[in-house]
Amino acid sequence: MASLVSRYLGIRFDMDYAFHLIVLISIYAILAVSLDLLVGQTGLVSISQAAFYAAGAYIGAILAVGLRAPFLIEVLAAMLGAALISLLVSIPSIHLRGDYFFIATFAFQLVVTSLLNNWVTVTRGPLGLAGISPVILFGVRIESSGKFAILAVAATAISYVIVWRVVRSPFGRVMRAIREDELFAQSLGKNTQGMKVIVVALSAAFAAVGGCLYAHYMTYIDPTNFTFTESLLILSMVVIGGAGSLIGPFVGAGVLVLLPEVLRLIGLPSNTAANIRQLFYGGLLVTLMFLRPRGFFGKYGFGRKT
Amino acid sequence: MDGVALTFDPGEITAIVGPNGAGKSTLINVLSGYVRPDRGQWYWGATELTKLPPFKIARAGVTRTFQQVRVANQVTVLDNLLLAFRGQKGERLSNAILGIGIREQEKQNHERARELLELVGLEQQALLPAEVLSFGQQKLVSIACCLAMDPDVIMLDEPVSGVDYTLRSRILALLAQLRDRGKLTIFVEHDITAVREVANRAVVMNAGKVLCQGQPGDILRSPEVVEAFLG
Repeated sequence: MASLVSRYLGIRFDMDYAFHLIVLISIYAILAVSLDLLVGQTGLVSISQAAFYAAGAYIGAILAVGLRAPFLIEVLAAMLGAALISLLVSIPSIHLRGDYFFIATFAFQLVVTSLLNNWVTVTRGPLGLAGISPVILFGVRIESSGKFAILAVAATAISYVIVWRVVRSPFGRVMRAIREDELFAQSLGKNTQGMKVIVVALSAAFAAVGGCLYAHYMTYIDPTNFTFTESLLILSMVVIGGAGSLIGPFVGAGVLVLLPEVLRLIGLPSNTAANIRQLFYGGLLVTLMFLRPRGFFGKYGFGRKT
Repeated sequence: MDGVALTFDPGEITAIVGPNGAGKSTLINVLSGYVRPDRGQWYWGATELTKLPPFKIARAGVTRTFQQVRVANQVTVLDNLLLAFRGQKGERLSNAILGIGIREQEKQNHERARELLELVGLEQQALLPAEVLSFGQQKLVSIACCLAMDPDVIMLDEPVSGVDYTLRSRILALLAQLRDRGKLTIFVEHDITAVREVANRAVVMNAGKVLCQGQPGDILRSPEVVEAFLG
């Protein structure tokens, strides 16, 4: 079926490329659902998810290259490291609301980008970290794109199951109460500041999983992979797919990963393709804000009670 | 507030009345921890609550509603109530992920929530988002949330203002039930008729000070109080 469609469209169908897209969608689905814990469930709009993504990628890469650590140990270390790093932004800013919290996360993202570029002894700065070895999991060496796609899909499924359990639990209920009215939640005896610190840490931990996967898949990482633009892309996935639902971030990840491929079919000139793509993303976001402010599958509207 | 010194007893309904800007809501905000007083202390029993944050005061058994009604709008009425129950194991992240001890407790809390919704007459609205309810119904939700916490003290900020006669009667009946159960209820109100109907005691405030306090029937007629209200 795929080869029929591709013959009709005049393109070569490549299974490796399909697996590549599956890997990217999976990684971004994990990143988007991790951010949705903050944005959709708790009402904390953050623009620093790429910073935690970077923490996971760099911790995973350093452990893989430097210590030849087993993959699962890398992932756990990356999750713990990202969660601890998240305290640097959550504790000082957790009493801030709305726009001020957003600005605090923006500042954090800039600081992390600067660190990645300048802490050369650890990150090798703009040169990045290369030679990240393939994953070996339960004795299986995961080198092909097909095998990595299976790993990425499995990681996404596990992440989604954990997030689903959290969201539908009493813990998730308190997150949503904080989103709706923090003062009301406090009047019911909820330690909202403590909860927010935990949610930011949880979100960072999941983003780190995405980072570990990315590092091993690409076998090379550098600071340009984890800039503010990347945080904006992840936030766009949550907004477009729909905040506050599990399916929304997944759909958003799919749409924004596949969109460049669709644009490629249109045959834009290569010197303007990147700019036109950005224009398209921006246009899509603005259009959705008018027509479907909750995104495709969103359960949460962004108008707040004051 | 200026030199406010009050004592409240369990099983009593105390109404705080006074003109706008008298300091009535400020008193509730101070007692519930949302405003830190410049000086002075307040105690519930032997426990000082002055410097505690609002969530700790709530956990100590002192609950409140707000003048501008506050509920979790895009959440169902039932979930609003389920939020209010104390000691929920599923509010710990580890228990939430592993599902430890949640199911049985949730079942019990669902039953209690349904009972409370029946008590306030909102059982039909259980699965509706709170934002679609009327203003008066949202007030009932916020009062039901206070009751769900099984508190020792309930502070209500203008519980019957802006509600129709049926809901007003329901709310006043609830206050009487709370008194019968030995709870201390403090409510701020402009509706003097409601004060006379349910309150054991009225405290009249003006310009941040306590003007007088006593039986509602007596003090609300005094010339001093009439002067304060009418200027």
